[in-house]
Amino acid sequence: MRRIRFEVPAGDAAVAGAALGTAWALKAFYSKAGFDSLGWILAPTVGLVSWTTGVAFELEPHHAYLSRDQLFLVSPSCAGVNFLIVAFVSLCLGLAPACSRAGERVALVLGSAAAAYLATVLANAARIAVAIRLHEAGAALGPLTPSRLHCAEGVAVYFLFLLVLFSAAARVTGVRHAVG
Amino acid sequence: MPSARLPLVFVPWLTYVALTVVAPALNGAAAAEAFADHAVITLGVSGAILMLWLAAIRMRPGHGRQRPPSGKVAAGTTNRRTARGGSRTASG
Repeated sequence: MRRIRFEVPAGDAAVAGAALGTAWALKAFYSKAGFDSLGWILAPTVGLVSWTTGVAFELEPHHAYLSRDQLFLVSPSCAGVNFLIVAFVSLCLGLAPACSRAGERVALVLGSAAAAYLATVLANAARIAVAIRLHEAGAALGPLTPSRLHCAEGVAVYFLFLLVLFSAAARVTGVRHAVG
Repeated sequence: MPSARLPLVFVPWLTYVALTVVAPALNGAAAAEAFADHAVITLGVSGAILMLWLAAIRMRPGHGRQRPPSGKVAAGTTNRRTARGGSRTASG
């Protein structure tokens, strides 16, 4: 009988532990974070959306960014922290086999954090820019109500950015398979 | 004993599904009415994109083509397949 063997070297397990621990801490922080605690990710995202779409947002102190023209709100739930966690964990877990030394593993974790942050700002800005256009058009498609369409658009944009980020990183590091 | 080889793109997909569907469900979000919509849309859209991505990779020219062994083989090495499916060549 064909048996599947999963081998996890100690170095890879250390990277996985660091990634999952950081993810857990970030998730715990995000579950309690208010608007003021998320400026480090919301401010550049909204700035990029304004710059690319020309839509002006006003800061509603301690609450959200609001576009009065579009009646569109960017609140803490739109911060993209879940995507940040997914991107960071994916890069760490998927690319750990490419590292053979401790220094390379530290560089992988730090590089993954930086790449995940940049990708989050870009992906979230793209998601919000498309969402503004869909909201403006009042788009709906059969069973896809405007809220479902907003959700589907978010998943599509986030996941495409995740695949592009991950594939680019895998190409750079030379990793080809997840297991084996 | 053969090893499993999972396409690398499954790592981000599994992580995405784990964080956006499985973790909230385990935390009690499954009881909410809107969660079913969210789960179906997340699994459907991300799964469809993943399948399209895998299909695009398979259709890419050169996919699955193995690099021919190098002509030069150093003493003490072989370019024949080893038990793990790899090959050892002089120039690598």
